[in-house]
Amino acid sequence: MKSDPHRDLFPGALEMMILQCLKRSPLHGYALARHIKQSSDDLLRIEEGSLYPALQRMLREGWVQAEWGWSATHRRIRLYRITRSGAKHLQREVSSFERMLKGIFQVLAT
Amino acid sequence: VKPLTWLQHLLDRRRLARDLAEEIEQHLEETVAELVREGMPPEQALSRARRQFGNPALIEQQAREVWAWAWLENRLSDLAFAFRQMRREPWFSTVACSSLALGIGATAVMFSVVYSVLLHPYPYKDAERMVHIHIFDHEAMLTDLLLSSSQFERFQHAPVLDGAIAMDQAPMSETGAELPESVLAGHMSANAFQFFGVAPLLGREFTPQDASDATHPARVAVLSYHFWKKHFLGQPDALGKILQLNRENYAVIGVLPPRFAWWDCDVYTPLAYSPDPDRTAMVFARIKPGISLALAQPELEAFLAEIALETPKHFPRELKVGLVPLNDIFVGSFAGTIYVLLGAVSLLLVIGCANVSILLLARGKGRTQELAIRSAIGGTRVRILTQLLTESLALGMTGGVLGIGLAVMGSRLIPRFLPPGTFPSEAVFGVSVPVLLASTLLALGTGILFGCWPAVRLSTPRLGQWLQPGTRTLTSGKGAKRSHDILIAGQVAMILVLLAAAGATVRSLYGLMHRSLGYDPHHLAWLTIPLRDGTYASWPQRVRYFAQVREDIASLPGIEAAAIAYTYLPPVSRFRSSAELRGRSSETHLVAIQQVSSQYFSALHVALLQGRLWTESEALRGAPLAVINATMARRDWPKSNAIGQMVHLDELKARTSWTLEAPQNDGWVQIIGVVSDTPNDGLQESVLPAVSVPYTLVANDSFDVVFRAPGDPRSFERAIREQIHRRDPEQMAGEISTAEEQLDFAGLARERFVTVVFLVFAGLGLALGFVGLYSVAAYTVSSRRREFALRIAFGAQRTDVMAAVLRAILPTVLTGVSAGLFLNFAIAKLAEHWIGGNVRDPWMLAAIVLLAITVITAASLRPASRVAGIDPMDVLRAD
Repeated sequence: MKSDPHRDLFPGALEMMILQCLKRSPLHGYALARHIKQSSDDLLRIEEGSLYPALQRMLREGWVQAEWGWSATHRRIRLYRITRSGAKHLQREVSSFERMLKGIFQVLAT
Repeated sequence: VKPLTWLQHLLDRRRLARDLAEEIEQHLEETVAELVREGMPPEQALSRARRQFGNPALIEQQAREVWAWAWLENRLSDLAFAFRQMRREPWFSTVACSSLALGIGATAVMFSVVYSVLLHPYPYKDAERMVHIHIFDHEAMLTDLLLSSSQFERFQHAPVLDGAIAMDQAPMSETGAELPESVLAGHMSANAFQFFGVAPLLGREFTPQDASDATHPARVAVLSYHFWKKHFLGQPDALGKILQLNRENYAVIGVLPPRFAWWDCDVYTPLAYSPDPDRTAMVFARIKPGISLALAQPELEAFLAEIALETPKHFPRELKVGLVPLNDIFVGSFAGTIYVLLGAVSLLLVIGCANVSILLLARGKGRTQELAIRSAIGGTRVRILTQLLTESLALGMTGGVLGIGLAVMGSRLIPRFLPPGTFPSEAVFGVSVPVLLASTLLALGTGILFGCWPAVRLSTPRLGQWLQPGTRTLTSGKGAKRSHDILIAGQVAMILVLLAAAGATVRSLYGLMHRSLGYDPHHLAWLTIPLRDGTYASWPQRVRYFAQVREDIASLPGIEAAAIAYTYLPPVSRFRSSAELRGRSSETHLVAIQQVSSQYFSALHVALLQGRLWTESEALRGAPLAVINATMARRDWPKSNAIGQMVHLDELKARTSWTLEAPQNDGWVQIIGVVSDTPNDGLQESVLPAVSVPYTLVANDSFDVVFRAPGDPRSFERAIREQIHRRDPEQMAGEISTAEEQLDFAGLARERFVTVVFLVFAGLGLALGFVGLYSVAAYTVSSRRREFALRIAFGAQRTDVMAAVLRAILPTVLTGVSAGLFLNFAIAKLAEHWIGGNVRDPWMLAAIVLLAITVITAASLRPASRVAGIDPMDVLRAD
């Protein structure tokens, strides 16, 4: 697809970032989008909507759990929480990602 | 994917979809709220939020597809659409579904026959390893293995065997009733029920404990299901009742389930151990697992050769053993016929499928616009293909359900139509789980099979052509026509093969029914009179008793003739023997032996051609005389006179303790007459040389009385029983069977069955072909309406138009006919071997070709005649 929102990311990157955010605290979709946007200083172009298919995929894999709750502003929100298998997955992904990055940097440095 | 999570989510996928929608809604609202808080006007905030988010509908779709529901939902909606489509075109659906239902139903019925007769006929444990043990001398089969009690004790421990039983089957007289009734008793070794491994329906079976005194086992009886139903009206209180057999009381201890029908006995009792080496019983065995028959046979031969040394007179000089699996006894040659019928039924199914393909293609013409629109608004080819295949599957499923319904009804009727003696009594017919599974697979398979071709053809729409009404072609596309032609030609070819088979069976049945039999089977019947154990134990007593009973029956008013026989009625014979002609000792032949009284020939209306018959006093003295049939006279004395010649019959001797020989019998007999031939080796076979000798030379412990009486011979049953009772109050008599039944049993019924089945198949095939071609003709005509209208407008006659339609169809039909003839000749050998008859008979083939072409032409002319009557201006204005 031409309008692929993941164009600037590699497969699995979005999931990795979502899991990392959720590791700190459970969040709902809007807050997640905000959080990723702010902490990346708008460097990454992510269509907010693309979070949702990713979240469904992660629900399917059992990496996150979702439940309805209330926000501080009294909105009904769907709160996502990382599961143990999600945390394990994150750890694996991060270490393999770091190795890859290290490799790329080494090649670029020569 | 975690299957459990997936399944959980599948089950409440509605809630999840709602959650997702709400979540996305919330997200947008929250974005808008924040933008407004930052000071943006609400409308602008909304469009900004949308831009940031992306297309909500698409994202929702993508998120849902993560779970692969969409695929499933699409299939379900395709299916629902398919069923709506079927409802919308009732004529099409009815024809298509009934074509399939007939094919699938008939195939499922044949599956159930194959399953219950060939694959799973017996309820016994490890039945596939159970064998009958036949004893041979040179080539001729003599008997089932007979062993004395002590020999059996040794035999059952033969290393290749996994158990064996001994059994002696004898009719017993049920005393205590008004007239003694014959009860067929199976005396079986005490281990028998452990051997069979079939649990009783009621009570218990006998066990080795019941025979702790081996020579005097407990007098207990286990009833067969049918005897329990008949004699005790199926009452459970039959248990514990007393059954008086041959004046001994037997306690009923159990009832067997319906499928236990070993040798079709009425009751089973423990077999007594007898120290008498002449007292023998039949032996059946189970081969150890993993040992082939080829391996077991020489082992058993060696084992038996040793046992035979003890009682050499019970065994032939050159002992050969044949192991025959249980199933071969009954179905033997019929198995091939069943497989041929299965082949024929699959042809019918394929014809039905071809019909549906043809209909789908024809209907597809009317749907090209729908498909073009689907394709125009973005339906991919795969999507359209799945849609079309789903429609076929829906047809297949409907046809399958109807077909299985037909099969359930059909399989109940099978036992009534299957010829007697071709399937064991243990077999039950019905749609069992394996049959159901096979039929369901068949329905789905056919759905895909017939749907594929039309689907592939129709899923490649040529958009431009179909969406622009002005550019419609005058005649239909070449490709569609070719598909049609191939299907029709194939269908015609298969119909022709079925017709040829039907024609051949009809001719051969006609031939059999008009074969000169050499005797008159009408108003002819017989019944068996089994002597009780130990009665009429001396030769003079026994032969005199036989003669008296015959006279008693012959003297009954209405009986035209009565004779004694220890043979079967034609067209089969009971005994074979090798025969040696005096002075020509080097050559021995196989002949049929008939032990009869001299009235036998007149009772059967068999003509005496030469010489004379023996007299009553010669018979009573056991004179070694013989009458041979014309075949033997022709073969052995073609130029000289057979009368006065001497023949030695090896088997004319007492083999067991209960047969009594005439004092001076040494196997040599003198020929005194020649009678005309009657079939004695089956209906289809040529007549064997036969030697008839007085029944008195070897007097068995049972004999048949053959009698001829006007009207229904069975109406004499009571009078005959009373005569027998008057002579000996304890003597029982069997049931009356007719000579016509014997003919049925010997193959006439089977021939009739095969003929009827093929006629039905061919008729159905032809009917299916008719419907298929009718729809094709209608399709051709409708797609060429404009052309025909133009032709008529330019002055073409009605007949010209009809000729044009015929010209379009006839070459295809003729191709099909030639292909069918070719196929018929290709499989002729196989077909003729299993169904009998001649599938290559030119007159028969000419007749069926004519029939097929007539029917098919009729089918295509009807739509043609309708189009010939149209008003051309109506058609041309319509565009």
